[in-house]
Amino acid sequence: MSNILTIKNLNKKYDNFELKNINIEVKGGVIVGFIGENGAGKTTTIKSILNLINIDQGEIRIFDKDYKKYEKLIKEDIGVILDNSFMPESLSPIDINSIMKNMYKRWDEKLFFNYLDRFKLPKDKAIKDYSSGMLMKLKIITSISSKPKLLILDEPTNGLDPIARSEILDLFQEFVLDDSHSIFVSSHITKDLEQVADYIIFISNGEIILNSSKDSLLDNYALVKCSSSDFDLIDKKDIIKYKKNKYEYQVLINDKNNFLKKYNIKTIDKITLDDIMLLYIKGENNE
Amino acid sequence: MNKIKSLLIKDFLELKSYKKNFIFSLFIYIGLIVLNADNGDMITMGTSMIIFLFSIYSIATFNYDEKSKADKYILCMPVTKREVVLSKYILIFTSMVLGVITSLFLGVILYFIGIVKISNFNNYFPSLLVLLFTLSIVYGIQIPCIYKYGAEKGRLQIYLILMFIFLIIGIIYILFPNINLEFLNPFEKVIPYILIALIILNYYISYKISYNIYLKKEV
Repeated sequence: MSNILTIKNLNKKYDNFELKNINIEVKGGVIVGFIGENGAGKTTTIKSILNLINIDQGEIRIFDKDYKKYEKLIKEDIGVILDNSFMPESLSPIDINSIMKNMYKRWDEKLFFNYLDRFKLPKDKAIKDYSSGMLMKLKIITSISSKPKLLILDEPTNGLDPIARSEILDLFQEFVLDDSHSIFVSSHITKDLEQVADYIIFISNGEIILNSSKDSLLDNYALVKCSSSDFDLIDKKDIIKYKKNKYEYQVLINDKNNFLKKYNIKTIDKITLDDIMLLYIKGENNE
Repeated sequence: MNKIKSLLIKDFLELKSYKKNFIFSLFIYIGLIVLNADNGDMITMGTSMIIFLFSIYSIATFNYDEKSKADKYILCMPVTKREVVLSKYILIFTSMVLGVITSLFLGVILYFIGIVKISNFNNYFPSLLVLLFTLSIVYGIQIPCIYKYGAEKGRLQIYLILMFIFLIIGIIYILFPNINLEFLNPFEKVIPYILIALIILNYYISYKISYNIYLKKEV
């Protein structure tokens, strides 16, 4: 089965920032979490995929088609949430429906209003009077109602309360039940991605640091907490990153089973994506 | 064409929310015409202001789009940059047509209820053409500037453009105080057509420039 999204050797240089050789593949029926600190390059990558910025080098294919040559055709099948941009704030969902039914060939008016009812969003209220949670739900509903095959979402759960986040994550999981649907979602709220993502891509300082299935990442990576003397016993090849705290060392490893066999250090914590991100960014190298 | 229709619907729905301000301004200009019913020049000015009012509201959609970052969102939809730019020019053209229709309709009503005389509308059509020509220069410059520098800076630009136009006119009057336009008399019948052609040409060139700017622009 061909990829829904393929990025090969994407490069984009700004005066003070650079995307370096980004390679990404998104298959059908999966949720890919794109994580990284603020300014790591998540939004620049997404803008490149959407042809909102001109890339310096690389190849981007969506639904196996060149993203520039078939841009209009491709965008019929993409739903997007992009940072703070949306429809003008004086418009209501009824207005949005009037616009979208002329914009998208497969816009489903009935589905849109059903979702509005499901999420209890007022149909005739101006967007500017929506709370941030309501607005995000509306953005997601709007992006789904054109019946896309790929959702590209930039920080969709940002600023939402836990209940709204849970409702939205449920919606994402419903969406990918269809094997031809995929979601490429960037977030720095890694807890959400731990819940729903199938794959995790970690970008830092414009470079992809990690690209793995979430289960393999959470099964194999671990956070070892040890004393200075234990730390000295660990072969540096087994350390991905480490951080020296006041009373202990925190060590990031990527082969938990091998580590347990090799060393007599039992203080291994279950790792979270946050831990991985934090140690990759703030930790020291093993040299 | 559906995509352009969709973008126009967005702009008109957006403008709908500013209808109170619009109607208030419209009534001020209608009042200006009614209060100066015996002064042909003031009637021309009032009707010109109505057309200007319509056009300025359509230009304001650039600001509304920028404020909500809708321009970026629109480009995530199945629409080309060419269609986005073209829709704005169609909106401005449509708003001016609506302005002309409104001012004509108003003139007819005021004539039939006996407030103004038909002779006071003698200058209406020549003035209308000059106004549309002037606006084609102003917007012809302003719209590419908005695409290049953004709508907020564009607001300042319109004042600078108007000041520049008035400055040029002023300099011409100072340099040629006894300017005699009688030499244009033999071309009297052709001038309206030349003006219409220039209006179309101005907008066409402006559209081409705007499109090329927007094509290269990163949002």
